[in-house]
Amino acid sequence: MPQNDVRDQVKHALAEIVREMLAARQDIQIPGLGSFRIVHHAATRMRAKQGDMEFIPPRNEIEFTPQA
Amino acid sequence: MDLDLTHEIARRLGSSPKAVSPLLEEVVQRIRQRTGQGKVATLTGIGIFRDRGTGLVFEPDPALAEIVNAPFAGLDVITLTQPVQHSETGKARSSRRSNRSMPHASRKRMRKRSQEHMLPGIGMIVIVGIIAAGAWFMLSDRTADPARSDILASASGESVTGDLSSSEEKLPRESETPPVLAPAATNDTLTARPEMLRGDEDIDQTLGGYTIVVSSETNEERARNAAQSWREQGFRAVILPDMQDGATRYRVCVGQFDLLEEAARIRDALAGSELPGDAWVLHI
Repeated sequence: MPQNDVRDQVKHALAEIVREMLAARQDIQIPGLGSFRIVHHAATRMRAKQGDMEFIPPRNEIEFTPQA
Repeated sequence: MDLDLTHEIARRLGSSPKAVSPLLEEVVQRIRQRTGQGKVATLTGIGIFRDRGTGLVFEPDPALAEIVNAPFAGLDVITLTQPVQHSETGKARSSRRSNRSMPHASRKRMRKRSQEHMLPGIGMIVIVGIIAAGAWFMLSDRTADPARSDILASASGESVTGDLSSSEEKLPRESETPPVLAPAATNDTLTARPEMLRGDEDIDQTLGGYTIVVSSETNEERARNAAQSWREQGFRAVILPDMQDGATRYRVCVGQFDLLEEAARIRDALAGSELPGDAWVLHI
């Protein structure tokens, strides 16, 4: 198999694993690049204009920390 | 982080870690190279990397962001309009607050302006005072009339005519009038209609309204067990399946409310105690 195709397969498998790990809320590190983790933001309540109350639903955020 | 990426990729590709390792390094090197040149590097299905001189930054692919937020998909921001305060007291308080946040020069200007407005105000008070004194004079004159004993009786229980100071004290002064707020207390709603959240009655989806999502499962049996557990705690529970990218997500919900406001206020009051912190209101 040509080298480019093999590299693409590795790239594809890498992406698949990262996706699966993050969907399962598990941290993952790519050596030489950095690590990914899920940061959960709980639901929040805040005052909007004119005293209105705004409720923001919970959400997950992907945080990336580059490897030095 | 316990996962050995090289081994896992090799396993999936039916290859050896020894063969995969240099290829994985190459993929990483290419990302580093591109971002080092100020270009954007894409890892398809994951996101993009860029370096604007402050270090490597990652922006997730919208599809990946959706995947990690699947439990919260379709949950919207809820805005509740706060009831308006009709009391003059409220206005006075808010104007004081805004004055405090003003710069000194602006405060001086405001003070000068308010002094200018005070002069006609004082004049008005004098006029109102004269009218009140006239009215008092007439009233005392009429209540002194034995023919008008009905007025005498209603003016004072002690039959003391002209004692306006005591009758004035009985009236709430404007500054003491409590602000008029719309009924908003969550627990009041729950106390008034506890059957919205708790009870044996099934949630009737045909009636619509709003419910509170307490958990979201990809496994139906887990969702059923969770719903049963909520029922055992006395809550009205239902499972609402939701299709997301071809997969079904089972949302376990409690309560049925006619109004969004009712559901939102109850969620706000009970989230983190009787309900999970991430509980959220959903339209049925």
